[in-house]
Amino acid sequence: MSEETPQTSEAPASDEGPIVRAQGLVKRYGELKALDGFDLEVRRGEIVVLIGPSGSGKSTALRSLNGLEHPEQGALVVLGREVLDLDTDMDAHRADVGMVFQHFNLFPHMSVLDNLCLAPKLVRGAKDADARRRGRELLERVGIGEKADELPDNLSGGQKQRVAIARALAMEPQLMLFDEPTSALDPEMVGEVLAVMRDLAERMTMIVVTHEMGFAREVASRVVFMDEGKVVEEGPPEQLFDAPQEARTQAFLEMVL
Amino acid sequence: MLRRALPALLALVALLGGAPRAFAKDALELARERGKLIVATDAGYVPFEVINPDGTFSGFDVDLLAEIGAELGLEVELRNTAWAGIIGALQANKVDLIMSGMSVTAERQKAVDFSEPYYRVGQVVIKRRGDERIQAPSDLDDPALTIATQEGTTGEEAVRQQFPRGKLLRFPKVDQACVALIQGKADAVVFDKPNLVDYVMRRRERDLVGLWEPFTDEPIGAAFRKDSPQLRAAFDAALAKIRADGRYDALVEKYFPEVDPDLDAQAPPPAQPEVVVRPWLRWWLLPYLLLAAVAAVLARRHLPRRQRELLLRVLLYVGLAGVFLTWYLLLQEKVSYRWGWERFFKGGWLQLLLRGLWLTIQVAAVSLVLALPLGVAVGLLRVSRAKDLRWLGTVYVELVRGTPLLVQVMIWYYFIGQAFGMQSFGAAVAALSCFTASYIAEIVRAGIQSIDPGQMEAARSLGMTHAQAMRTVILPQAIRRILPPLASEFVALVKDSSLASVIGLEELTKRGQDVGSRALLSFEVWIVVAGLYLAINLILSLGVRWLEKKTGTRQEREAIR
Repeated sequence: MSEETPQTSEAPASDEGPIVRAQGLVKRYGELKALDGFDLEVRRGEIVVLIGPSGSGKSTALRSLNGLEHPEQGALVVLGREVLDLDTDMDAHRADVGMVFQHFNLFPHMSVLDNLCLAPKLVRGAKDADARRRGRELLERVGIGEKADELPDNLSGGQKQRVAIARALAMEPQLMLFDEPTSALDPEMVGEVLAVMRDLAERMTMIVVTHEMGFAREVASRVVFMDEGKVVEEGPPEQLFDAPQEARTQAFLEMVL
Repeated sequence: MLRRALPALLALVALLGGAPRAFAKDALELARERGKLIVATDAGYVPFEVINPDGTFSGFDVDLLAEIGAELGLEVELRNTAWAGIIGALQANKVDLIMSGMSVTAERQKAVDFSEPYYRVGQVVIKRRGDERIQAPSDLDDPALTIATQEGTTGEEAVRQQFPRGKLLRFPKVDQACVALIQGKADAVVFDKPNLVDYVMRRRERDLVGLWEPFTDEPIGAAFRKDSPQLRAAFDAALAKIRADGRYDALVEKYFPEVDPDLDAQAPPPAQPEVVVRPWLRWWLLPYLLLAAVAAVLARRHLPRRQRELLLRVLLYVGLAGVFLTWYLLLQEKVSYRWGWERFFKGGWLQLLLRGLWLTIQVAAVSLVLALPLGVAVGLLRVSRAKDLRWLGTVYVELVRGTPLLVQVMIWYYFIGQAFGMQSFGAAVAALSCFTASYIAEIVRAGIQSIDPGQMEAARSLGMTHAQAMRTVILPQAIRRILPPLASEFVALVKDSSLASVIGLEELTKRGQDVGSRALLSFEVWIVVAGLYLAINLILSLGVRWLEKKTGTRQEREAIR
């Protein structure tokens, strides 16, 4: 993206293989199996949308990719890093994987611009002036350049989520994860966030958990339907939405469409 | 006469004092090396040792010590130490001897050696004039009677043993017991004769009469460490010489007042209080409230917000001041307590209290500055991801929070402080800051845990380490949130600093007790002491509020204003 941003830590992913490869992930919460043999491969440049009923393990799967959850079984390689290996430097890993949360999780005690600059300065060692200039560019890109000096509490939900996306982008991630980014928004604000994501999709690898079927159909290169902790069916959006093979997929789509 | 020691405290002190005693020199040798005798006393015991307006001491013990020092060729330095810590100070070699009107008791003789008795006192009874139920001390053994005395003294012991059926009411200082008697909360005060004679005679309390024949006989002695027989022998020899040449009798005459037969006779009714309270005065509040209500309604209609708020504030404070003044005047009418404000201010007692205040401020301020980082550090241990560190933090909090501050102050002074050559001030600061830190730690922990976990997740997802996220994201938010409970903790710290008096710091509360028993102005002194504490704490609270405003987000800033 920007020319003079400091180099990210060594990016081990080769252009050939998938940059995400999950095999047989299992994650239990007591009795409940949130993940029960979850498999997924994602290639660079793909936009993968995870759908499924609530409790099907979509968020857990997504959060496993940057180590916010710790599956106890299976193999998981993301950007060439063995995520489940305790020796992996997860701080460096997370710096390369952007994450956008349902509830934005902006830092309320600092300005919008400082939200964007904090991690590049702390983690990447960016100079203050560079980080600020880059931060303003990103805010312009998500359409809220004029809010740079506001505190997050003075922003609308849609604006907050756009800041959160810009904050993740400020780290120059190679992969972006979105965990129900529009679920906490008032309906009239969903569009502005999806627009930013659509724009971003042109040059970023993204994995999105969402209930926005329209967005999935329009932007996704592949839609993955999950239920009971595993992938039931996956394919290009037109195939999955218009000709689902599995009974469970059909039942789910009938309910939400 | 004076004060039965607290057995538990003795045991503690014996335990802590045990180590240094093994290799200690005789106190006489130590005193000769430094050229002066260091003596512990609790300067709140008329007429043995009392404090003067300039902070020096006087009294029978003080003058007698000066004579003895002259005989021994040693300067005398007095350490004014609260009673609860006085034997500990001796045991731990902080002083050479105790001279504080101490009764010789079998229990104390287990811990210390006593000189030859240098005075004998006995317990007497005082009562309100005209109370026919009490004709002799033995009448006090009656469940219908309430007997007031000073806690932890031989007076209390005498009441417990001889009048077990009487109702016992204990006060920190005997002048407070006398006020209770005057007010009718107690029917008699039992205490040493010299002290009660002084109280009744000096205050010219015509409402009180004494049964002046003592019903006990208690020798008073100076106390020495068991390893210092030489100093004790030298003391006794000097005392004998002073007795022989008449100096002793002169001191007795000077300090032990005789009962004034004029005052004590079956005699005049109590003097009228000087201020006569107008009967209507007590009803002023009703018209005032009415007036205030009308003013408030009018202001609501006709005044802009700022002026309205100002007016309401003025009305409120005038009302509060009026309530206080009315209470004060009614007190004068109902209670025959004779106020001595003039004596309080002209006697220079305020200056003495202010010196105590300054020390309190110093102790509290230094403790606060140390307690804050320590508390935050322990609080961080409490939320650490490493189990062992969490455990360490828990142990600290439970240990320090779970034991009385008084005991910790003593442990710091006699045990830890002894090893590091720590003086009273250092030990008090150490104990207070460690104690306060344990509470701050819990507040910090609660503050950190109250921050949405999503904040940590978001910070970590950006590649920050746990420590970076803690420092830049979690703590700044947590600290803003915990400022109000922290302010409460700081206020508690200021008040807790009064416990430093047991290791010889003459801070505000100790000064208050000393002045109260010297000048016999209990109410005046405590009203002023309370006012001074309040003043410090108000300033502290305002400071924290300012911080809250300064660190708050914009909405919070507006809400707080």
